[in-house]
Amino acid sequence: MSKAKGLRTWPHLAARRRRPSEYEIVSTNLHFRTMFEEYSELSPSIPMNRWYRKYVRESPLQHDDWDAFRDPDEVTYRTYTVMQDGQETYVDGLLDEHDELGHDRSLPDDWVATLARLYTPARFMLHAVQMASAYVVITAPSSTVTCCAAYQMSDALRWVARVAYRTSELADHHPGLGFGKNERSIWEQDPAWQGFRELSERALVAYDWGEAVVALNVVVKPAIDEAFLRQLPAAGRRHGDLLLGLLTDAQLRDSERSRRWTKAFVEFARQRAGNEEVLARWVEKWAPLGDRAIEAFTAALPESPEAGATAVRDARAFRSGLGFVS
Amino acid sequence: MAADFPVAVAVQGDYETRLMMVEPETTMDELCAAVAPFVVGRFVPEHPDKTMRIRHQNRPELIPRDARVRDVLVPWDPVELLFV
Amino acid sequence: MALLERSRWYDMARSTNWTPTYVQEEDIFPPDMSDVFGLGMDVWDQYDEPYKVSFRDYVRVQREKDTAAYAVKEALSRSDYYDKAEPGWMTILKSHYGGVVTVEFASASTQARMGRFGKGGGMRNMGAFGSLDEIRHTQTQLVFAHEHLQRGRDPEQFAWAQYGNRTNNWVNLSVRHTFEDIEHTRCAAATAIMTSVFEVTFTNLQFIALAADATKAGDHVFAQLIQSIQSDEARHAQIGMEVMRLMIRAGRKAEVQKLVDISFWRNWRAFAALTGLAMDYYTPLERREHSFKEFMEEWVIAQFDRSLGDLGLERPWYWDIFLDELKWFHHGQHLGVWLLPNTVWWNPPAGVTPAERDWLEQQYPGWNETFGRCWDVITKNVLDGNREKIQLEIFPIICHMSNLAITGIPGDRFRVRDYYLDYEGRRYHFGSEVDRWIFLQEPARYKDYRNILDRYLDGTIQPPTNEGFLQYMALDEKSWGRDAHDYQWADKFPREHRTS
Repeated sequence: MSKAKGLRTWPHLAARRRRPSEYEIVSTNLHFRTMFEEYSELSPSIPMNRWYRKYVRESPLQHDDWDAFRDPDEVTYRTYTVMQDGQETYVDGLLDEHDELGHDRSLPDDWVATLARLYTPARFMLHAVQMASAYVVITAPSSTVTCCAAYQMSDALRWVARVAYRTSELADHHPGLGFGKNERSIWEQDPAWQGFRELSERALVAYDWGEAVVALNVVVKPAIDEAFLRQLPAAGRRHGDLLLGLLTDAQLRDSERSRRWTKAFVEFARQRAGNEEVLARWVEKWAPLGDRAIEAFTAALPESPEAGATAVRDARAFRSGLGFVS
Repeated sequence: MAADFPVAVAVQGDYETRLMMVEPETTMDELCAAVAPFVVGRFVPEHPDKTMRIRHQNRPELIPRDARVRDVLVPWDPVELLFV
Repeated sequence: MALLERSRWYDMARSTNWTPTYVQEEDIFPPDMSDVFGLGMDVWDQYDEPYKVSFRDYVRVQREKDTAAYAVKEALSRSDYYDKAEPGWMTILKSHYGGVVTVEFASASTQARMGRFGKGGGMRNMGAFGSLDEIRHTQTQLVFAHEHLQRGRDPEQFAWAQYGNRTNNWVNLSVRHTFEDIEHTRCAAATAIMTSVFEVTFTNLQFIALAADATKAGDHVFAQLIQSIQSDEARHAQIGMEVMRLMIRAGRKAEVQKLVDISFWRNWRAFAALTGLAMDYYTPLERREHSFKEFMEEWVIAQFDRSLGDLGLERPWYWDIFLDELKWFHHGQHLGVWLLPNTVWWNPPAGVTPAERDWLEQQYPGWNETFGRCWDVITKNVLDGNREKIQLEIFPIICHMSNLAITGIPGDRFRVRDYYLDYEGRRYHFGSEVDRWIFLQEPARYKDYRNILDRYLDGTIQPPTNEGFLQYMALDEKSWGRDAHDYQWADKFPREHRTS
């Protein structure tokens, strides 16, 4: 048997005459739901085919080749688990160490009350991010966007678990304050959370796939970053809570990865004429909801009169870094 | 006349049912003659001492040899081609 | 370490339902996407996944598994096993990669659909992990298939791993129709149930059975790879089992049973065509551990009885039909593929030397006087050099459900039936009574479908010639298949079998 010449790589990568990265080999051009006239071979009239036609095919956000999108970090499953295993070991270390130090027992009562009100109920908000990210996995017309969304969904699940963990610890050290019991009713009723709850619920039903990405990644997550991951721990540090800021900094690392692929996504979408206006319209629609969420939440922070304005400003700075004026 | 009448044919001894497009005027004998070269001697052996006859998959009686496709079948009817 | 046990906080991490007020609950969970059965939130709040895992443990365990799997990949790069491996074994790798890998990637969305539209918090979390698992399966197999591209043995056939399901090749059409029906076009609850049937019973067949054959064939690389993949299945395969439990407790057993019945059959047909051929015809004879029928009995039937029987479900109504088909269905599929190798992306071995026929007769008594009769004629033509008589020039009728050729029992026990149906002025063809029954459960889902034969006849495939047909199926001389041994297998027959 004569040894014929092999192929360097998959046909769609071969045109570019350079060696593909492992990321490209394993993440690109994998969806078949985008390749044919309908989402599936089942009848066009079935609900799923109609959903996909309405919310993906007919989205105002269009591109000739969504498959060409690339995650700037080139995360693969393999590198994701290596990276996050290391990060979780670090977080385990933080929790263990602070438990040894008697951290929770030493917190002042007023700060503990703040944690019960403004920290542990966040598991609902973070789970909403998890769900909204899952929606992007399902609908993105590019396997590379789907992968970014899948790792983002997993990051959110990670932090829901960590908040649940901390809730349990705080319940142990401060029984009788409703840790592990009151979070749902606080999320549903406390004025501090109503901005984020409204934002979350509305984002969950933003079913146009492009709007879903913009709402979640350009507005919702950055609002959470600024209010919950920066301003809350800043107040915490003034009340002797050092652990919270260490945990939220670890969470911000995941958020920053989201911001990087979001920026790449927006720039990629802008390649196509007409998308700029579509994106700007969505940002203009969602930004005020994000700002209101930030304001409602930060208004409840103790001794933090600047927190709201700072967080709103910083969320807007992210958006203007993406080229948006809203 | 166009060969646009589809018949699903299963030759006795063959492993699958196949599509044959014929003219509506085609007789049963002509249908057998049209199918045979594609199947007999390829997937089923020759039976030189036998005649090929046709019956509808769901009915036991053999269809008369000079019956025309358009008179005894509807498009996409399944038939068996038997060696008798 | 003074860290909390998972059980201390686990329930809280999955207590994530709340009562929305800014939008309606059914806007967040539209029935078509979440639950067409209308179970209340109080039912879904009881969802309790049997296999529990934390993110922390997940990333650690999966990282370790990947280290082992990728070490094997390094061994592949250095080894010359694949340069010398039997053609039949290479065929199995190509057909597996080309059919399966991007179905795995699509399953990442199936799992994420449960992660978004599942109404139980635990179901959503397990869906998130399941989605990651499927990305793992996709990416690991793509790395391995990509290695084969560079080795020079039919690289275009290995390239099918990445793009096969993006084509209208008849095999990929069959794969898409099947898995889109099972996994991609139903509410999260129904999807969970149907996907679990697939994962709890059938994936064992392709992955564990193949791993055993791979080990015996000396392909430790492939064996390790797919064992590693299958080790993830146990966890996310359970998602739908819990949905079944909840629904049965809520008095909806009949609906669960129907979904199980549909999923089991559709999986049966798909795996018969994929794994049946691999095990009984492509695996070199001396490497065969068991027959396809034996593996089905040991892995699929036993597993089905154990897992679904435990829930109080029955064997599907068509069980006798299924047991009967176990004896003969895939043999006809093999004939069809071997006679039209240029319609697939792998090189099918004939698998019918005298020794192989003896094995087939042993495993499937009556094989020689049924399928053997067709092969007698074919083999004689091969020996006599009548290659034009091995061409299949008259196309099979294609089942409108499985998208496989409508095959039956040939030879002395001839029985081939078109289970057709006239519905709203159109005639549909089915390879079995069960395929027809599935159509009738929800005709609106299936009635607009045009299979590849329809497309040939209605002008979709242009030009309407053999060349046009092959082009439509994305095949060319570099990618389409031919007999794996270039007909040399016929030399094993004694001289007196030849005419001249």
